[in-house]
This record gives sequence, C-alpha cells and structure tokens, in this order.
Amino acid sequence: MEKKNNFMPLLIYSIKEKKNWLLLSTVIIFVTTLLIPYILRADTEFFIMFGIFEMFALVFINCLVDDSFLHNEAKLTYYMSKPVPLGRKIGINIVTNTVFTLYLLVLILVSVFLQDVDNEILKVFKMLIPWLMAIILLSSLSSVLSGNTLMAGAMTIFNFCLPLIILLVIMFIFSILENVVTGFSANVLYDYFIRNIYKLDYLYFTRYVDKSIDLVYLLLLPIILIFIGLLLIRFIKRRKNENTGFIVFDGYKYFVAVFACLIIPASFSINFSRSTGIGSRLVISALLATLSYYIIIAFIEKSFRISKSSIKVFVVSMVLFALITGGTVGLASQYENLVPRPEDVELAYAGNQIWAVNSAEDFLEGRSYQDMSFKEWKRNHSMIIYDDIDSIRDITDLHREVLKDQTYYVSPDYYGTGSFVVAYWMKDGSRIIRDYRLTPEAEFRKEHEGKNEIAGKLLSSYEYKKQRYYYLYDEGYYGGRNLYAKVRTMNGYNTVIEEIDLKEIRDLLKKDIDNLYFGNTSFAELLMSYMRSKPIAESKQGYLVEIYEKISDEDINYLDELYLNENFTNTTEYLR
Amino acid sequence: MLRVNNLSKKFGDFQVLKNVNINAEKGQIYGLVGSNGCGKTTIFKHIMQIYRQDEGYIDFDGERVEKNSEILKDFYYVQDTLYFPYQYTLEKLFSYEKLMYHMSEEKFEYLLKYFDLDKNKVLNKMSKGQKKQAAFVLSIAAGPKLLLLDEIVDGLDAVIKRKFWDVLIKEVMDNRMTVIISSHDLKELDNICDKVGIMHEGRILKEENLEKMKEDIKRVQFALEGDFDPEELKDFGILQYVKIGSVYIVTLTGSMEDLEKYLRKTHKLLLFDRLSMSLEEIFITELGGAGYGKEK
Repeated sequence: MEKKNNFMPLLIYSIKEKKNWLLLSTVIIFVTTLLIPYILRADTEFFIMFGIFEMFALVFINCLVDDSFLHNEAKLTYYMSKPVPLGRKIGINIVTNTVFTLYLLVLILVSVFLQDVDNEILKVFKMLIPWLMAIILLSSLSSVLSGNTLMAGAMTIFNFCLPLIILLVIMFIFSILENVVTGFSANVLYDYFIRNIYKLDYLYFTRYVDKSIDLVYLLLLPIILIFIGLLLIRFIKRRKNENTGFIVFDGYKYFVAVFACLIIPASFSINFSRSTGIGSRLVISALLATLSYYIIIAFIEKSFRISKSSIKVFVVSMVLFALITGGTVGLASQYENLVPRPEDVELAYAGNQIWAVNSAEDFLEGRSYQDMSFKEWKRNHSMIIYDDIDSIRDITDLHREVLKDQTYYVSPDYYGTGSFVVAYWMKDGSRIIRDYRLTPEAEFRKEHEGKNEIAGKLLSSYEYKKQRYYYLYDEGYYGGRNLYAKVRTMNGYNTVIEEIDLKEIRDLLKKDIDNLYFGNTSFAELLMSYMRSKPIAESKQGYLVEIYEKISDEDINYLDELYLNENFTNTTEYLR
Repeated sequence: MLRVNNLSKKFGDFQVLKNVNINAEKGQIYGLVGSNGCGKTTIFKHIMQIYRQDEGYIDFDGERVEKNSEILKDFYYVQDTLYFPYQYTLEKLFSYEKLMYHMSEEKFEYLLKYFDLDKNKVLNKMSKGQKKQAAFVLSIAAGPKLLLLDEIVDGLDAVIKRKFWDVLIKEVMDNRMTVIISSHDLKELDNICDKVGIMHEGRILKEENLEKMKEDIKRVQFALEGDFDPEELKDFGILQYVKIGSVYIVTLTGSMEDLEKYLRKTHKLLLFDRLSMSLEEIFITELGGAGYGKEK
C-alpha cells in the first residue's frame, strides 16, 4: 500500500459528518432565541443568554461524543488500528468542533442582529470565545485522561474550574491563618491575593466583558490554549490504552482526588472561620478531607478497598498542605505586630468596614472607573480616611493599643461590633491592612482606657468632623450649594415637621458636635459611627434630621441623617 | 516477515505476555491458538501498537514497528468484538476507510457479490455472521501486507467458512500477504495454516510449521504380549499414554522407528501402528503438558 497523508480528507469527512448536529443546533438556537421570544414578545436578551448557554451545552456534548471512542474498548481498537495516529484523530475532532462552534456563534449573532438586541450583549463574546476554545481543548484533554465519557465530562468541568479550586484551597489556608495570626483577615488576604498575584479575572477573561481587548488578551489567550494543547500532546503520547477505569493516569487520578477532597473541608473552614474555634475546625477539616478522599478514590478505583499507594499519596499531600499552611502562618507571624511609622503613611483608616477599605483600594488603584476625586468618593461612600500626620499618628497609637488588648468597652446603650479594621496606604505604594476580631465588654476596665482616649482624640479632631460632617465643616463643599434639612420627630417618624435651609441650623449643629464627648465609649463610637444612637432610635425621643442638597426642583441628593438626642442641646432647642 | 521478539507486558501486577516470540513469513498463514485468556488478542494489539510493550520489539520486513510508524499503514486488524461507526452502511464505511487505505473498489464489489452482502444495509443491523463477512470484505479490499484476523470464523457456518478460506488463500497466493489468524476452531486452522503458534498463559509454548509439528509429535498404538511398564519409554519423549484394553496409545516426540525397534527387541510386539494427529490433538497435548485442563 502507498502511504497517504490523510489529515485534510479526514477533516472534511468529519465536518460533513456533523451535518445532523448542525441542523439540530440551527433549529434549537432559532426556536429558543428567535421564535419563542417573538411569540411571547418577551425579553429577548434573556433568550439570547439562554441561546449562549445552549451553545455551550451543544459544544460540550459534541466534544465528549466525538472523543468517546477513547472510552470503549471495541471503538478504541477500531480507530487505533487505523493508520491515523491518536493525536491526529483528536486533532481532527478539535478542528471539527471549532468549526461547529464558529457556526453556532454565527447563529447567535444572527439572532442578535435580527432581533435588534442591544449590542452591549456582544461584549460578553470577548469572554465567551476564550471559554469555548478552552472547553474544546479541555474536553479532549479530559477524554484522554479519562476512561469513561461521563467522567471525561466531569473532569472537563474540574479542569476548567481548577484555578478556582486552587483559590479555594488557598482561602482554606488563609482561613486557618486568620485564626492563628492576630489581625490577619482571610478576606483581606484573599482580596490582596486575587488583585495582585492570582489574577483570575485575566485567566477567565472576565475583566474584558467591560473592557476593550488589549495586548494582554491577545497574548494570554494563545498562551493558555498552547499550554492546554501541550498538555494534551503530552498525555496523548503517554496514554496507555490498556488502562481502564474512570481515570487512566494514576498521577492525574491522585491529583484530582487530593484537590477534590479539599473542596468540602475548605468550604467548611471558610464559612465557619469566625464562628468555630481553630482546633475543632482543623479536626473537622481533617476528618472531612479524609472521608472525601476515601469516597473519591473508592469511586474512581471502583473498589471500597483503598490501595497502599492511595494512602501514601494522601498522607504526603496532607503533610505538604500542612507545611505550606505552616510556612504561610510562620511568614505572616513576622508581621503580626507591625505598626508603620506615621511618617511613612500617606493615608490611614480606622473603623470596622473592611468592604469600605477594599472599595477605597479599588478607587485608588483605578479599578472602579468612577470619574470623581478621592474626596468626592469618600463623601459618597461615607468613608473617613485621614491624610494628616496627627490623625495618622493617633491611628498608629490606637493600632498599638489594639495589639496589646483585643477587648473594648461598650455601654449597654450601644450596639457591639466584633471587628476593628485599620488600613494604611504607605508612601512607597504598599498597603497594610489588618482586621482584628475584638470582644466587646460591658464592664469598663483599665485596658480600655488607652483606646478610648485615642479614639476620643480622633473623633474630636477637625479632620474627622470635616469628613464626617463635610456639609457643615468643609467650607469648600458648603460654599455655593443649596443645602437643606428635613426635620422629623422620632415619635412621628413618617411626618416631616419642618423643611429648612441648612444655614439656619448649621452653626448650632457645629456647636453641638464640637461639644460632643463620648468618654468611655469613644472607641465604640469610632467603630460604630454609622449605627450609633441606639437609645434615640428606641426611645423615640429627639429629632431625625435628613440633610440634602437641592440640585434642581426635581433632583435632590440626600447626604446624611442625624439623630439629634439630648447632647444636641442647641439645635434641639432651636427646633423646638 | 513479521517478527515478534521477546515481547513482555504487564497489566498492573499481572504478567499478560512473557517473552513472546512469533515469526511469520511473507505469504504465510500463521495460526495463533491458545487457551482462553492466554493473550492472543493482546499480541494483536501490540502488533498494531494499540498497546505498548514493556519489553521486546516487533519488526515487519526488517523495519521496527513503533507507535505512529509508517509501516502500520500496511497492517489491517479485524478484532474479535467488531465495532462499526453508528448508522454506517458497508458502502459508507468503505468510503471512510478509503481515506486511510488504498481500498480496491473492484475487489470490494466482487467480494460483496461473492458473500452476497447488501452494501446499503446499516452494519449494526446485520447478523453476527454478516458483520464478520463485512469486516472481512473490507480487510481484503484494503489489501494489507499484514492481516490480523482475531477469531474471524468462530461462530460461522461451514459454507461461509469455506468462502473465507478460499478468498484468504487466493489473496495470500496473489499478493504474498502475511496473515495471522487466531481461532478456537482448530479443525478449521488445521486445513489452512502453514505455521502455528500455541499459546498458554502469556507464553508461546510451541511455534512450528504445521507439517513439521505433526511430524514432531506422533501418536502410535501398539499391543504387546506380557507385562509392560510405560516408564521404560521415558527416553522416547513420551507426552501422553493411555491403555485401552490391551492396546497402548502413546503420544511422543522421539523417533517412532526407534520406539518400534526397542519394543520389538524387548517385548513381543503384536501390533504397531502410527495414528494421524490433528492440530486440535497437538494443541490438547501441548496444553496438557503445560498443566492446562489437568486441574483437579
């Protein structure tokens, strides 16, 4: 026989063989994205999204069906006995399914254009196309790694989600770390890690939904595809066709089992990190990991009797996990008592809102795409971030006090909180963010004095007032605006008794605020500045004043709500 | 020629093949026979490089057979558990295989008529016998240099079997094709094979030209006057003996003439006849020697 290079003829044959799938897909996509929304006169965008989901399902099923010959002995023997190497056969399937996917994408685009759907929906294609390409390659890779088509499907999803599973395992380590090293928060570490090191938004192309394609996109996409392709080639070469079972590579089998067995304990540990003690959490996590591993291995190996090599792999993996966790804890411990020098700090925050710190991070890093100054942003988010050296010094002093003792005094009239967040934006561009879990105590002790004294200084500082009550103290803001106040009594909450120009009460309010003194509850007040005045809310005494800016007759911008209790003597006297 | 050299393979801890050696000449029909599960199909899959050997190597016409090597294009394997792509007719499968082999349309059409097969019938709707014929027709139409037939005639009726052999012999004669055929139907192989390899538990117990094998293993019946201890004959390579009435039936590898001389010299020989041995009898004798079928 003469030798034949049969790639192209086989590819054309394979594409022709797809004609039934093409026909079926055309009908499915047109019925669900065109006909049904037309008949229902319904939200077309929803049906387009549904069509995209169908496209994923169709591509996924086709890939698995085409590579299913690897999972049946007679089929595999038939195809492998033909003069078409396995790599070429799988390559033909990949190209065929890529052509099929392109056809489906065109169908969806036709639906979008025929229905005149907002073209914004097309932005999602910048993410969808890499996902589809990755799924085509990953399903082939998973089929090569697996000995069963259903398992290949499950492994495709596992492989696609692997970066997320790794993140979950890292979060698991962080959740342990936060219990061991004071001031370290799993959420803060997660945010830092995901933003600066483990950039999943790049890896999954999610950031490009709202962003135009850039050089990173154009480089990253081929790199990812080539990486999966190289893995595929490597495993095709190493595949032993005589191996049966759900997964045909022992190494991959253990890889899956080890990572999968960490999912349940990781989820448990992350969700219960603040409510369960570290000791019991570690014991439960270890038990869950062992049980999960046994079940996964028993399922993959189709035997309840676990092999010695499986036990060895588990033990080694857990030791490795413990070492990595221990190393991370050891590293973090070195920074446990770190308080920066005030001179090195550019901005500082002290409060209880970790989300607000993250949000400020986003703004300062230019990730929130808001067209405003930082000052405006702080006002809009009711955030008090200091840039003056005195306040920063006070915050570092307060930080040291918290490091010494993690309790504080709360009078029964106040709501308690468990969290003290301190954040420093350093002049060298780095950040230090700590989240301390504090215990509120109803009995005042000596250890609370220092915290209250420093918090009191901060609360009475001009910087604080300028940011907290900017509509009163910030002349730059106040000047030239139409500011008003709606006044309600606390016992007639639904009725506005008076609507006055802020000018009328501005000086009175400032005077009252200047006279405010929190004493032993200063630290609690600093933490609870947005939820204070529980006694007023419950006793239904005093006034509720809503401050707003009238931009036009139709456009009103609410700025703040103030509960005026007996401490606001001058203002309440005036309003009476 | 096909040369399988010291081929060994383990599936996990289980040694499936142990130093297997096969030598099949060009234009030869080689019968691979053996007990169930002895590794015949595994050898075929190694030759086709579907499986990779742990040790040993395979040569064809002096060229090493390796994964993805060009020489594999000259091999055609018909497996025992037949597979046909979903909803394919014989004609469609012929078109598909034409993309990989230089299929002879003329031969294909001729064989369709010869076996009375409907090329437009969906293959998976055919009977078991028709499927085997279809697979055989395709294999012959592909005109390979090496044809591996795994239990191709098992379960077929005598007429079809005869047709198979006629076609096969003609192909071998015309094209000098090498055929390796495995079957449990040893009577059939007896009529067609030039050479036979007998396998048991992953080993080739014996590989020989069939005629030579029949010369090597002989069976005689004799009757003597007086007492006789079969132990006397241990130097003649006795494989088996039975006594039926006063007649001894002995299977041996040693010289029959020497045995006769010995018996005439030491006893009063009343009867001495050579019995013909079939492949099946040789097979049973060889496997019996290896302990197969003798378990208590």
